[in-house]
Parts: sequence; structure tokens; C-alpha cells
Amino acid sequence: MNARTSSLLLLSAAPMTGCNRNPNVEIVGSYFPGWMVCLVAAVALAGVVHAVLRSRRAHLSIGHPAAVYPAMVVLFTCLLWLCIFA
Amino acid sequence: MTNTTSMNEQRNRGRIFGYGVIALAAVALTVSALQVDRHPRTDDATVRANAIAFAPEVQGRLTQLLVKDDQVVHKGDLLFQIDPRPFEHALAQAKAEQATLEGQIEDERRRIAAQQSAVGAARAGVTGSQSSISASQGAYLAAQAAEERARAAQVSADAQLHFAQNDYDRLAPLLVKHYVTTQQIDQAQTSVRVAQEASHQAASQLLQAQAQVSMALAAKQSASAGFTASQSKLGEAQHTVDTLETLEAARPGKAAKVEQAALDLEWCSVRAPFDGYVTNMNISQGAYAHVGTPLFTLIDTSNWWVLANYRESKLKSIRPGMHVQVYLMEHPGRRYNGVVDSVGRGVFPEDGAVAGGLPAVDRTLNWVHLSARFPVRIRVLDPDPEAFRIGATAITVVR
Repeated sequence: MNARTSSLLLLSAAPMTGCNRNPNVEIVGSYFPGWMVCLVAAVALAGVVHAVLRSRRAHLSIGHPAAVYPAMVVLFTCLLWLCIFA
Repeated sequence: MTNTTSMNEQRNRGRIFGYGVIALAAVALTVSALQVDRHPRTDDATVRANAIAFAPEVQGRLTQLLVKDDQVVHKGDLLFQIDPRPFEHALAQAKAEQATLEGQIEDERRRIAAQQSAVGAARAGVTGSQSSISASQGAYLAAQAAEERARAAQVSADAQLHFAQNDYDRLAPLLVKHYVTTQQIDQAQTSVRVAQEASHQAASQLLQAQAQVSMALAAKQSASAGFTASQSKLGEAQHTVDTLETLEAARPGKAAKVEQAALDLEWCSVRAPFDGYVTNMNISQGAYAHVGTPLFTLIDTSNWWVLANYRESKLKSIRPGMHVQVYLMEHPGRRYNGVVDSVGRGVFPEDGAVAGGLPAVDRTLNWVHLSARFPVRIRVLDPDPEAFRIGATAITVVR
């Protein structure tokens, strides 16, 4: 089991915990919905995944990257939201 | 050859990875959507509590102001004091008016007793008049009887005179021929004169009796008039007896005035009607308080609510009694528990305008409609009086 698989499994198990936090986040006096924060973090995480894949020269082998990376962002967003805010 | 096989394996893994990510994303998105649907949440919510614009019941200058802005007050605490002197004077005056009325009632009671005595006297006068009528009636009847007797006496005297005159007339021609003596003629003349006098006397007595009848009749009429007069006097006396009803009817009014004055005096000391916070206070001691004009606001802290505006599509999952998690923006890390009290039954319809007596309907072509929001009233079960403020932003999640 490589690091990528284990991290995915960890994120998949996250919704079971159900943190039940405040669904909004205050940033400099404004309240942002939790999903928006998760979206930003998911974009960053997708960038990290892309960097890891690139370092292993596996990024070219992913088929339909235009669909896979947005799906990855959606996946990370949902997992983070379910973990932290749901 | 080996290189080509390795590249194919890597491409296959990449394809599997891509499909796996897409499938997991779909699953996560579905789970998230279900989560949101099962547990509706909104950040369009504000904290509410019952608040009253606190206005005094009486007007006057504030002699004491014992609270300041944002201060905690408890039920019964003295908030401020209005100058009580005018109300003390009003109470004294109302009491004096009440005492005056009681004195007037007592005086009137004595006067009525005197008037009732006058009625008794008038009634005795009526009785006396009735006796006078009876007496005068008797006198009248007696006078009539005397008149009858006098008339009979006159008839008898006239008959005697007539007899004596006839006797004389018979004897007088016989004297010429000396058939009778002069003495007999003188005797007959004397009898005639005696009968004439007796007749005159009887006539006088008849006249006297008639005069007495007239007098008795006049006395009787006078007695009747006296009876009528005394009856009138009795009626007048009865009608002039005053009653206490008017004065006694004023009693409740005077008592109410005293009570109102006492209440006004009591209202000079204004006390907190419930536990809460003072807010929006911008006055100081010496300010003039007007009746019904709010001086500050009192927030009732016994019940805190959150009014959460939920989209209409979420209302089907919200029922009264459901548990709600409440978060305040002021304390994002703290969670409060609430319960759905009621779901709003109406909001102002934006397309309800009427122009010229007809509904005004815009010509639109809206492909996407924004859902309406309805306020859901959530009662907070464990509010923190330090953290809750009216109008604070809240986030609610129905569980």
C-alpha cells in the first residue's frame, strides 16, 4: 500500500467521525461557508497530488485529466466538508 | 518489449486511478447532498429575544436613575424614580375630595331627616283638614236642620197670624151692632199683633238659620279647600325630600380617583418587570419622562430564540420539536442546543402588488427561480446570557 492509497483510505474514513463544527468560518471579519474553505483546500490538495504524481512521472499515464482533476477537487472538497463541517 | 508492457501497465493503473477518483467523487458528492438534505442548515439566522421599549406610566422628572446601559437587572429591581411630589399632592387632594363627599352625605342625611319631619307634619295637617271637613259637614247639616225648624216655625207663626187675622176680621163688623164687646175686639187685635210679631220673629229666625246654613256651607267649602291645600303641601313636602342617591353615586368615582392617585404615586417608582438587560439607554438623571415614550429597552433574557430563514425546499424536513444545533458567530467553537418551536406560516409575497385595483404582474421569463425563505423559530435550550445578543448572526443545523 503506497502513500497515496493510504491517504485516500484515511480521507474516506473521515466522514464517520462527524466533527459537527460550526459550518461557517470567519476570515477577516467575514463569514465564509465551510464548503468554500474546503474547496480552496481541495484545490491545494489536488495540486499536491499532481506534484507527487509528477515526481513519480505517473501524471502522464492518468487518462482524461480534465475530468479526473476536477473530480479529485470535488472528492477532496466533499471529504473535507463531511469530516469537518457535516 | 518489456518497456512496452510496463508502459501499458502504468497506463492501465492511471486509467483505474482516474475512474476510481471520479467514482469516489460521485459517491462523496451524493453523501454530502444527502447529508445536507437530511440535516438542513442555514447561516441566514439571527438571535432574538423578547424586548420591550420601556416607557413610564406617569410623567415627570427623573430624580433617580439607578441603571445604566447594558446592565443586568432582576425582576423587581428599582430602575428609576420619577419625582413623586405632584402625585403625593394629587393623592392628598383625592382623599380630601372623598372626605368632603362623605361630609356632604352626612349633611344631606340630616337635611333629609328634617324634610321627612316636615312631611310628617304635612300629613298631620291633611288629617286635621279631614277632621275639619267632617266637623264643618256636621255643622252644615245642623244648620240645615235649624233652617228647617225655623221654616216650620214661620209656617206655624203665619198660620197663627192668619187665624188671628181671620178671627179679627170676623169680630170687627160685629162691634157696630154690638154683638161683641170692645174688649173682645181689642183681644182679637192683640192676638193679631202677637201673631204678627211671632211671624216676624219666625221669619227672622228663618233668615238667621239660612245665614247659618250659608256660613256652615262656606265653612265646609273652606275646610275642603284647606284639605286640598294640606294635601298639596304634603305632596310638595314629599317631593322636596332629597335623596342620597346622587351623592352616593359619586362615591365610587371619588374612590376610583383616590386609587388612581395612589397608583400614579406607586408608578413613580419604576421597577423591572422581568430579569433582563437594559439597552439603548441614552438618558441621564434629570431627564423628563413622558407617558408612553420609551426611555430605554429591556431585553427579556428568560427565553432566547433563533429565527432561521430556511429555503422552502428544506421545510419538509423540519418539524416542531426537532433538535437543532445552534452556533453563534461570536463564539464559533461553542455549540448550543435548540428545538424547533414553529415553522413560519407566511412571508410577504413580493408579487402581491395591486395597481388600479388589479394585480400587477411583471412580464418576465425566468428560467431559474430563487426559492423563498421562511422563518423557523428555534427555542434555545441552553442559552448563555453572556454570549446571546439580539440580532447576532447564528448558524443552525437541524438534526
